[in-house]
Amino acid sequence: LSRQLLIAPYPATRLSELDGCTYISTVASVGYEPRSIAIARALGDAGRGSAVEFSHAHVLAFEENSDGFRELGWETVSGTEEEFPRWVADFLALNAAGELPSSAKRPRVAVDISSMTRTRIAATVQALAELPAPLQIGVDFLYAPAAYSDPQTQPPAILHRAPVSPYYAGDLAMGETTVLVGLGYEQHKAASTIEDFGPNDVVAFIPEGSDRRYLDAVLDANSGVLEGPLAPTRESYAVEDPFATFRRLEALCFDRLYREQPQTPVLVPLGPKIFAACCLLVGAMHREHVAVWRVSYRRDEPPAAAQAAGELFGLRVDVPLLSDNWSEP
Amino acid sequence: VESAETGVLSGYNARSWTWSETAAGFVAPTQYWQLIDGGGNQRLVGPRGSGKTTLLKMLCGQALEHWKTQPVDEDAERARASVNFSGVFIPANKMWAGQVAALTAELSEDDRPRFGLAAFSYMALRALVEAAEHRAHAPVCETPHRRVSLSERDEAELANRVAEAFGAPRASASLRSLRLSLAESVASLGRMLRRAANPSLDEHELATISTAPLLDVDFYSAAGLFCQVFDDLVDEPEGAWAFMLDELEFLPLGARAEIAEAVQGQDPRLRFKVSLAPWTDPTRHLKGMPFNDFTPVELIPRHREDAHAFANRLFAREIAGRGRPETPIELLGRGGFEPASEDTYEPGGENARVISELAQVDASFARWLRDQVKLDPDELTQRSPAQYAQLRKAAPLARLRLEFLKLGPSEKTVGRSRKRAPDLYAGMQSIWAMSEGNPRWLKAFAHELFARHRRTGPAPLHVQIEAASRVADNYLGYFRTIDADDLTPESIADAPAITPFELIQRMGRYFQTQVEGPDFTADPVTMARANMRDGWIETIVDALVFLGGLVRQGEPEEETLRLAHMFAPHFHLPPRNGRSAPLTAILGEVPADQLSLTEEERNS
Repeated sequence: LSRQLLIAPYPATRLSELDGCTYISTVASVGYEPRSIAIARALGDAGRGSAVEFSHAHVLAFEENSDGFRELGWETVSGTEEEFPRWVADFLALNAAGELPSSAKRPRVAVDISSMTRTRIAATVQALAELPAPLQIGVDFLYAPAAYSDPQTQPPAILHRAPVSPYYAGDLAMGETTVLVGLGYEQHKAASTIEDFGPNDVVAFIPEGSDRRYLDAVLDANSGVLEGPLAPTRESYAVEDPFATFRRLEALCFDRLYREQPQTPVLVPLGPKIFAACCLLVGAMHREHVAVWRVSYRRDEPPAAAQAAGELFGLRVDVPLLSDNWSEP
Repeated sequence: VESAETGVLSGYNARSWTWSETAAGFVAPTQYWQLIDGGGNQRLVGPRGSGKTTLLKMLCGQALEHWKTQPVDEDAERARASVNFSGVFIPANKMWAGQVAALTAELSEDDRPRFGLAAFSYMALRALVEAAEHRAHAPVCETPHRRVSLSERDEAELANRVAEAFGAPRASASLRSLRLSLAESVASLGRMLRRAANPSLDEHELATISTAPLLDVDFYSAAGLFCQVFDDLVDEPEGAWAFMLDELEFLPLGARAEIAEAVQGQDPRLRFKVSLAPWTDPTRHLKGMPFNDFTPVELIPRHREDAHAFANRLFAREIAGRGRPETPIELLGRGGFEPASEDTYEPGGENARVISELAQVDASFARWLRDQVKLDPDELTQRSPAQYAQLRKAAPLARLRLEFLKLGPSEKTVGRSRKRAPDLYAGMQSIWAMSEGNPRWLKAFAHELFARHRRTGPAPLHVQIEAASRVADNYLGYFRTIDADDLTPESIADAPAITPFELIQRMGRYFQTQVEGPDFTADPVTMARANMRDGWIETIVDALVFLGGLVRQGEPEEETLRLAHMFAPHFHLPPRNGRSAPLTAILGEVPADQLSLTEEERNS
């Protein structure tokens, strides 16, 4: 049985204004980017939680981050990508609550997706949607965007394209499709994916942040996509307003599904992780009709030392009790 | 190609076109008529973009009825009169295959293909019902194809009689209700699979799912029953139905085998036309492969003339479709590597001038002329027939070489212009050669050309070259991030030594050195003999052949590989075949001059 997910805006703010007291626990990643630890530091003592390591790519700031989380008093967790879904499901169940007195607030945890892989974000959303029936919880997906740095030229690579997991595989019907693809820095990824899929229609989501250079770099990396013979519909989205992005994605999926000639929406979340979170939430809420695909390199991508820019964006998700559907978060 | 401007060719993918869009730009190649006339099961083989999907769709009534008769082209009428079966197009594609694979990934090896086959069966039956609905209920049109009259009572009888075989409610009373029921069966299957993928599911429930009655659908007998009842009701006892199974290469081998088995039967009214990747080596690829016993129809033109004739017709349609008045030759000019005139080696002739100029600036060419051909460049008219043959062979290369060479102050070769490909690559001759008759390439070229050339009249040569280069760059960009595991996933290593893009680059650079190198030869190496027995290399070669980056030629035992001619300007190559060298030598694994006795013998 899938649970009702209630999505609400998370007010855009700055890392310096983050209040750790909001959360009973937090999940973060021990990655190689310096920004992996930015939200944990901003949360302070009150926001301690679990920092999950990766089994590979222990480069750049990895050791520093690992030491940093320990100094902050966080639990560090090691494990593989395959073990993460079970771990995060247990984490959420452990921090969730059953029936509460009317005066009590629903327990809330934070999930820092800034350095998380898309598969881990997907597993977290799935775990929320499959939270055991007697439990309720609130989760804030937090994202600290990176300060601008020029994109790196990607070496020739072998890509792997597949639904993120069986949960996000959509339906089994053959037919017309619309690909809703997020554009990012990665040269060739979006173009070759569209080429590979041969959809009936393409909607390209173009991120716009506070630093104009990002937009220029994304447009440059994807100029071939945007000017191609199958010119996509352009959808600019504000990185700072993921709730609006979520709503727009969902609306476009409905639009495609309920036309006279329906088209199956296929979401391809390239670009910022917060866009991936939006796609995965739409995918989880409409999983019988909407597929979410992952496009990844077979070899590790060249690591980049992304620094947090100081901004903080997010999405607020609540899983109420079954008896308490539609309640405000 | 370091540019980020990797474009998308998908606008030219018939999979995403409506029936009317498919028919609007259709030009029938000779293979189309083979598909119509071939009575039994057929296997359409060709690389991506060669028009497989278009051909299969154009065998269906929905597309045939949209195909407008042209003033000087009666192909549409001929096709409507000749297609004596009802085409049923089944649009399997990569996304569908990926979603089936993901949803069935957690199942046991025994259960996995059963679910995939059931999903395929329901979708194929739904396509069958849609084709029947079209024949019976589509709005009246000027150019009908195999339309029939089916009364409500007969339709109810049909739906009722096939309901059980289709897994539909017995109360089904129309083709529409049957179609909706099939869609619901597919949705139910999806729900079951998502449930089965839940790791916390207990074994009892998993067993219930894997024995669900929904899995018992028998495609062949259900389709046979439907066609028989339909044909009886419309009084067409000899009616035939052809199922078009598109892009089966995307399905896992197991699923392909299951489908191949499911469509084997003796019902004379059912036939199958499948499209597959161009695996022409029976020893490695087709032995024991599903559909190997189907009659092959090759979409790769065997002769240059065929490819050029088709390219000319298709491009003329592209021009006319944009409301332009020119013919292809008016727009592109003749161009190419071969001068039109017969007396080109006479004094003042174009080739005579090229040979004379090159001999002055290229010492190795002058040496070749003197030592091998034994001719003075200023006395070409004194040639023997044998010398003439040598000159004819060398002339295109000489022209290419001359374009890239510049005369230095001391009459030495001092530099090469690499900014722009020479004008030789423009003109109809060269454009057709680079297209190799590939519809997707030609349509992409038209898109790029007319985005740059909007005025009436001939397109400037540099604009033609820009457009052709842009299409090639799009392909190269695609190869930079190729997804190669569709073909043989078991051969993919964790850290492959070479990527498909690098393979193309290394082959191209090697051939370029042969053509432009310091020692002129009239017969440079521009092809590779696939002598490697390396699983990964074979996988990426297959992927590149499928995607149109490489072309296989010759019989399996003497198979050669070459770059698609679209890359000729990129690597400064002539768009034609040449001598071959072992792939191991080209990739630098053995020295180029270290040939086995067999290799030496073949080269001689």
